[in-house]
Amino acid sequence: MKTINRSILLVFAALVAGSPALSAASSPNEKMTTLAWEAFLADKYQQAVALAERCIKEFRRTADDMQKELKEHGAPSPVVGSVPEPERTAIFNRGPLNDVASCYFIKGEAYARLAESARAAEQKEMLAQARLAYEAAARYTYARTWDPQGWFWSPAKKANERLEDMAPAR
Amino acid sequence: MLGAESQWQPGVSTPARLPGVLAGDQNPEDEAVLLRDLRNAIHEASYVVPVLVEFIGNPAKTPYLRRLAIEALECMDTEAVEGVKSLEAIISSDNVDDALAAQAIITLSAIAVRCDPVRKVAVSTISKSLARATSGKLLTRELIRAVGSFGFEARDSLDALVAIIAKPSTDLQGGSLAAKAVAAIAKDTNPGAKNFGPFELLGLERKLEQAERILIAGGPGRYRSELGALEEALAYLRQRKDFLPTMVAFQAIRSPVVLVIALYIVLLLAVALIKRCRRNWLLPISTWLSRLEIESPHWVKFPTVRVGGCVAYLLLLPPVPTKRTNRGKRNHTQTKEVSVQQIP
Repeated sequence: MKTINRSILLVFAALVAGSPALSAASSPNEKMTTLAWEAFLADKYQQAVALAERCIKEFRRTADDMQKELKEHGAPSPVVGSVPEPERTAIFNRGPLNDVASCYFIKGEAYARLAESARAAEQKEMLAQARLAYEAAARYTYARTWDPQGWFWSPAKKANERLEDMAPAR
Repeated sequence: MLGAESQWQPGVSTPARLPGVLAGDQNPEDEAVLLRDLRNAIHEASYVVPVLVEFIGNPAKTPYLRRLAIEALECMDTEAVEGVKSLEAIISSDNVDDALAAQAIITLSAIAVRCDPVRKVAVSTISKSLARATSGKLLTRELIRAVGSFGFEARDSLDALVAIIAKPSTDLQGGSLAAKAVAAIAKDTNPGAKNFGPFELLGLERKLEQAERILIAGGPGRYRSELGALEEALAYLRQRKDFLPTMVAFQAIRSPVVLVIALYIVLLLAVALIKRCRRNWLLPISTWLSRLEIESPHWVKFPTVRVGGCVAYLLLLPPVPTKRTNRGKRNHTQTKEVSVQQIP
């Protein structure tokens, strides 16, 4: 598998360390997601998976409902990159959707990292788990992750890119 | 295997709506979600196969989306056979993304394993692709795996597999996969080669011997189990080879043309023999045949009736003239002599 893009990791670091939005980390989903990012950046992949799963378990249904509602109403896909203020707040208001998608992406990244150091037999299982997590993240097409440098990116699109780089599943 | 994550579908269309949605122009992220849903919906969505086939063959779609469409096709039931041609086109093409071609190989071999009518075509396509030296690393591995999954049916790929093992640029994993594929072919030699003719037997033996030499050169310890399978296959072939002269004779006799000519000759001889017999010999034969016809099982009755018919025909023929002619000639000569003497 292609090496994980370092720039994304730097964005995660900035996300955890510097974002005023996240430093407040008022909601539980935000807190859990921040902790999962922190564990991932500290190379504690198993812990990152566990924390991400906690957030997913807690908020998945809310996130599903949000995605479903936006889809059914034909809401325009939120833009990525720099977003003007009213729309920016609208994206931030979809916290559970954004965080669940991010947590699935963290889970996928963590499993991909675990697969790199795993033995052949375990590697297959790890990669299968990573694939499932990325595929789950890719479902939340309305989710956006905030980059503290001032722009949004799509975890669904990023997950699709990761899936594209993975070898075909047997 | 589908995990919990794959089974829930936030805001996703039902399979019934998918063909129409897929046929339209969607955003690639939504298309990816739809295709994964199709893959996971399997039996509910087999009617979508034509749309998938069109999607797979559409070069305007990204290779990843086409890969997902192929994955979805693989999950369809026997209808997946409809997509075989589009998969073959991808595998045979030189200008295709490696991952897309690899997915096509995986899916084609999976469909071929479960659908007998497709297998021959699939084996041929995959064997031809393996024989081409241009395949990339990922693609070559998938081709080798596919060949291995077909076992004895992929024996035409033996030369290509041996070449891969022998090539110095082949890495450990590639060599090991190729050796496993060779062993898979060898394992099925018995009974695969049971109905082989002498030339096929000798050809296969030569190929397997070559594979054995290459594996021994690669390290007998490394390929121990594969060499075991090869030895067993070779022992079986050599055992069959011992019967080659008998086999050749048997094959010649078995040939239908030879058989028909032989039967015709036998029949002519029989008729000629019977014709030379006295009529009073034919009557007991006829009686015996009648009894046989009444008392014997069905498989005896049929030929009996035929032979009986022949005998009846011979009985109805006018008296055999051969012996009488000779006797008559002698008498006629004698009469002639007498009549000459009696003339004054």
